[in-house]
Amino acid sequence: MKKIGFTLLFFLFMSQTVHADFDVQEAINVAKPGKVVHIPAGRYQGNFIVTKPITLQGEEGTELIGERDNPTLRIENTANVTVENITLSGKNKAIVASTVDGLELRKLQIKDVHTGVHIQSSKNVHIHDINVTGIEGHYSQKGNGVAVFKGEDITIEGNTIEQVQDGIYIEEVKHIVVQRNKVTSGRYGTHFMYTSDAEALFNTYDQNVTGLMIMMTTNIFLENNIVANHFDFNGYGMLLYDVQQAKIKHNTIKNNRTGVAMQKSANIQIETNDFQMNQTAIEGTKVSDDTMASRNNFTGNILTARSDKQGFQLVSNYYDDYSGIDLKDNGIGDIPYVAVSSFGQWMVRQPVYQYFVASPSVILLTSLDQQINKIEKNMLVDNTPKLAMKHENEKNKMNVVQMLLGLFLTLSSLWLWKRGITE
Amino acid sequence: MMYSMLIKLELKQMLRSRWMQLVGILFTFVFTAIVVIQQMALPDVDGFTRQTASFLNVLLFLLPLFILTIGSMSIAGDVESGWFSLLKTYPMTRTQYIAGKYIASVLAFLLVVVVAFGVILALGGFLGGVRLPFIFIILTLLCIFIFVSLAIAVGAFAKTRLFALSLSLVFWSIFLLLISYALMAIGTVVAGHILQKLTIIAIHINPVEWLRFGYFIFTDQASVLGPAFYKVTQFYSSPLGYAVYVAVTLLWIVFPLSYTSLLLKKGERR
Amino acid sequence: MKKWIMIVMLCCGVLMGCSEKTYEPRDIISETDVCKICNMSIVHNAYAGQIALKNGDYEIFDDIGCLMEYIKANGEDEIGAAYIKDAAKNEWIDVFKAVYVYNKDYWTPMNYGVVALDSKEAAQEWMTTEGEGQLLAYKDLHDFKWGIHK
Repeated sequence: MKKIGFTLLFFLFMSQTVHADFDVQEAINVAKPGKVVHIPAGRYQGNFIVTKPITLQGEEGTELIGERDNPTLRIENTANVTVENITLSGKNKAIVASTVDGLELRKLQIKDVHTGVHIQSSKNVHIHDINVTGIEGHYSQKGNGVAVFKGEDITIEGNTIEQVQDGIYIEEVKHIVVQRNKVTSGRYGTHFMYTSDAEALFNTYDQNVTGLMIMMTTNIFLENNIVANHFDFNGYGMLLYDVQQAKIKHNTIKNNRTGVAMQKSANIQIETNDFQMNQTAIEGTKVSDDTMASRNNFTGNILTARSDKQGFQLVSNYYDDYSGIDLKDNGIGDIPYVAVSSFGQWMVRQPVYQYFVASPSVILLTSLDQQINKIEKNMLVDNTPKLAMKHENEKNKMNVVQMLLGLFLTLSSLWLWKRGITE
Repeated sequence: MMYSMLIKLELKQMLRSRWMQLVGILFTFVFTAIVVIQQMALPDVDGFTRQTASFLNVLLFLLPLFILTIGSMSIAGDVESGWFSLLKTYPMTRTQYIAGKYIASVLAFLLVVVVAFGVILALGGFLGGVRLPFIFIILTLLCIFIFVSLAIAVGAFAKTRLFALSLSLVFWSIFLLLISYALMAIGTVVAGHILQKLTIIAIHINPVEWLRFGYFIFTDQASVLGPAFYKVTQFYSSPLGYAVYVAVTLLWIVFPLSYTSLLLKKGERR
Repeated sequence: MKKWIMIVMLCCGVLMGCSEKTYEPRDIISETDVCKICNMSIVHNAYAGQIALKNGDYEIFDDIGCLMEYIKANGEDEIGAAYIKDAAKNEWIDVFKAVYVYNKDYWTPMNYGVVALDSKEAAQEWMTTEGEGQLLAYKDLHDFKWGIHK
């Protein structure tokens, strides 16, 4: 009986590996264009290449493992390729696609790689529902999760990427949509460079160095993203460098070292975002006069805004640290909100000043500043601060143990005190 | 026997003083108000936020002020009123007197703080969603240990209550404000790396900065201080760094007390 | 009191004196170093640059283009020394003496396509492996049009 069991197990085990006899590259080679190549479950070692319009379809347990430092799967000089349902791993890059018109990557698991997906000079690319998990270690030693160099009409959606350098790296791309992705524990969540006509929507960026890094890009929409917990050295929720025309709307920007930073940029609209608990909510240096933050909610930020001498505009935002009142009862504060502080300006100029952030001396200085700068008219002043904000109060539960402990402590210490006096 | 009598007596005097009672009420009130209002109003996240910043600042503003003034006036009052001269006629060493004074003051302030924390916990528990991070309890203890020691030194130096009061205020403003302002002013003219080095020196020679620095180290939030301080915070986040932190803290307690002993000895000789 | 002022002055003097004689390049700390101009963290060490200012501060750059932008904005007066990584050997070389090769297809962190090398021979060697490029000297970088070239 036992023997039969073992034999069965043996066959079961064999049946896992038996498909290794299936020659993936051979199957690709013989497939006619437009056909589906089905790869049965199994672990296949090798470096595979696709140069014609086919569909590579795996199933549960199909795994391609790259050899040496070469890409696991290469797709070159072709059109309309689909890769789906496959697990890929390898030392260097999992997928490299170059000069492909029409590429779909879906439901892929990519793990233990230096770089997940590397795409260059390609058009009409759709990457969705893939998972990339990089190697352990410092981000400077890793590659990107999904990288696109030189392309047009790219959609990257619903992917989960963690532990890589840049989750999604985009360079020289025209028309790209990045949506509903989740990037954690990387260097930059999504990194746009030299890109035009881009959208980033409904993404979640958590605990990277910087959530959204946007450089030398024109015409970009950033909407409904959640950007949280970028509080490490040099961490930013969003950093815009040399960006023309950006709309940043409806995002939740929470607990970052700096929420949104703009440098050398023009025509940026920051509207209806929630800035919560950031050390600095918005920072602007060398930005054009038309840069504006309007109708945002600022709650619990240590510093609302800081800038160089040029400043930027604040219009109709809600500030939880606004001290004015509304006698006219029109929902708008009667006196302007002044965000400018000397400390904020020093910190922009000399990074060493960051040491003093929210230190007792700076708190005092800033509150003095706000009194003195009441006459400030131009820079970082909101003349129409909004007063009410839609309040979504979380219901707090009563903590009986804590309360009793507190009562006990108070009463017993008071009793001790009294005893100390009278005895 | 004699010794515990002294501590009891000192403690009694401390707790009896109207000033101490007033401080107890004030401290409790301000602390509770800030903690409860801030934590109720803002979402709960980990990390350095405005609520932790204000908690830390209230602690650093109020506690040293109360401890320095009350503590220094207590010992200066002993010298001024001749109580210290009287005590010297008893079989008790100077060290015993100072240690007794130190222990009694620490206990008295602990009681004040426990009342305040008790109220926060009770009210927080009742309203829900208010926590008292462990690190703040540690920090409060360190703050009491260091500043009682400093207060005793200031009081022994001043010898009269009025002088002790003004001297404490001077020290308080130097530690809390003037050193920082001086550094910030210097920073506008010197290079970044010099400001960085001066700041590191200031951290070690200013107990308020030392406690604040400790807060960031022990909560693993050293990145708040900025990349310029990466190497220092790296060092203090290592086991050796922790040891150095403890050593420097002990120095802050022992040094003022030995100085007090020296001062009182001089006074005896006179 | 005078004694104290003396001590403070001495300390300041020592602090300032420490780094004034020579301008040695410092190591990149990948945890904290970011480009002064564009804020990108330095992960591609082979293209990094740095300027040792006369006051002892260092400014770090991720690409020669950013370094040149800094010089353009701040002038050369405050610069003690400027270094760029030799793209082939990954060693610090003097910005003012380096040989530069430009080809729009060379990848650099900012994609400006300019790499630095220590000699003409090294530049020739670089071009044989990486593709033909245009030789530039430091003075040519001043009016070089930084940015992506189509």
